[in-house]
Amino acid sequence: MDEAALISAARQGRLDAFNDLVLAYQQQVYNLAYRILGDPAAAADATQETFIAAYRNLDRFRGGSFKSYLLRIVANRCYDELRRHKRRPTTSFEDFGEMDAEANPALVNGGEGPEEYAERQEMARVIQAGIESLSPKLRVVLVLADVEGLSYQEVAEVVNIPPGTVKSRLARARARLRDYLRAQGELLPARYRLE
Amino acid sequence: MRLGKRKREELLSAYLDGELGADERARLEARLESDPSLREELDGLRRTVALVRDLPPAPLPRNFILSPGMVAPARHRPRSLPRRLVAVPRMAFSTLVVGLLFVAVLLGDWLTGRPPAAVRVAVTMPQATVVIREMPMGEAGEETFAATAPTNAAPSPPEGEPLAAQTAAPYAGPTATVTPAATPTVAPTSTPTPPVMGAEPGPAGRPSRLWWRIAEVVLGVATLSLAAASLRARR
Repeated sequence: MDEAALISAARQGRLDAFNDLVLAYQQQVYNLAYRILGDPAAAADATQETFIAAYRNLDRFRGGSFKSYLLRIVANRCYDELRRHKRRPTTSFEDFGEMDAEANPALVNGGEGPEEYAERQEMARVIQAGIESLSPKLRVVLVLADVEGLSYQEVAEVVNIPPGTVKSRLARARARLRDYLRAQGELLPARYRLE
Repeated sequence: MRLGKRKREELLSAYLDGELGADERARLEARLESDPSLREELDGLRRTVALVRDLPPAPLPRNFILSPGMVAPARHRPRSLPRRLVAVPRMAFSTLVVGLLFVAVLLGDWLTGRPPAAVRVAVTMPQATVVIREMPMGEAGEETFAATAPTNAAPSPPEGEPLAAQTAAPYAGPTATVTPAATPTVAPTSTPTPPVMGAEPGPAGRPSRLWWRIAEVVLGVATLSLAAASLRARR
């Protein structure tokens, strides 16, 4: 069944059809929430609330990209969460416990040795900390564009701002993240250093 | 022409995304040819974007499929007011109740603590009592002593009966003066006695005053705390 048929069936109250959509998009929705909030538990809550809200408000979906519809909901939830609680989590090593290679074999690239894997994990931790150092406005735009790979126009639709604003916010976010990573200097693995 | 920092960042970022128009792109590429610092800046930005795009997807902690209970219409659920909207009136009501109780206790304390009229007279004239007791015993002294007698812890003489009638033995006659031994036996018990406490009916008076004070302090503190808490909740 294609996406339009699933949406149509879900509108008629078929929860199993909507759950097929959940399975198709849950990774992207959770990833966006995790990169913005930096906390697995908060990201899981935001993801679950997003799918519930998406199902209840399915009548308001006017067609177009269902992915954008979901990302808009989760981005707004994360943004509200950051504004409300001024959540600025410091990424701890405990948060990355679940990113263990044994528990998640998919994290290991083919042919990657233990040293490369450890370096990549350390790099991911530093980048996540850099993302969390950005203001909520810049963070949301950066994650949508560079993590989720949305175009300027798609980001503008999700965040409900003009494309010109997306352009300037994204530029500032990237420049600040670059400065942050440069400031880490020797802390980064040699092959990832920006100098 | 030298570009401002923000404009430069925007141009380089949009250039990386292929979002520049043909003219702008050509101008920027010409500048990149001649400006090594601009090339270095572009390179740093490009590597930063590549690192972010290379982030592994966060592993899913669980599936997020929905159950019928999760999506039950909100109107079918018992809807409760936000906690704050419920808490504020409740706290205001509690403040009012405790405040009224506090006022009632204050009034009760004041009403039950009023000394009888005879005692109030004695309270206003403590010095006169002492002076007269040092004078040779006469009619004036007997009357004054009779008036102050109810404030003593010692057994009170019947009202109107001269003290001389009870202490007749030590005195030689109407012209005799008070002996030195007699003065300390009466004066210390009459003069320092607190007027309010002396007005209490019997030895149980002191604990009951204490309980009034405790109740006043507790209710006063509770009233102030509740008022402060409800003001904070209202904000």
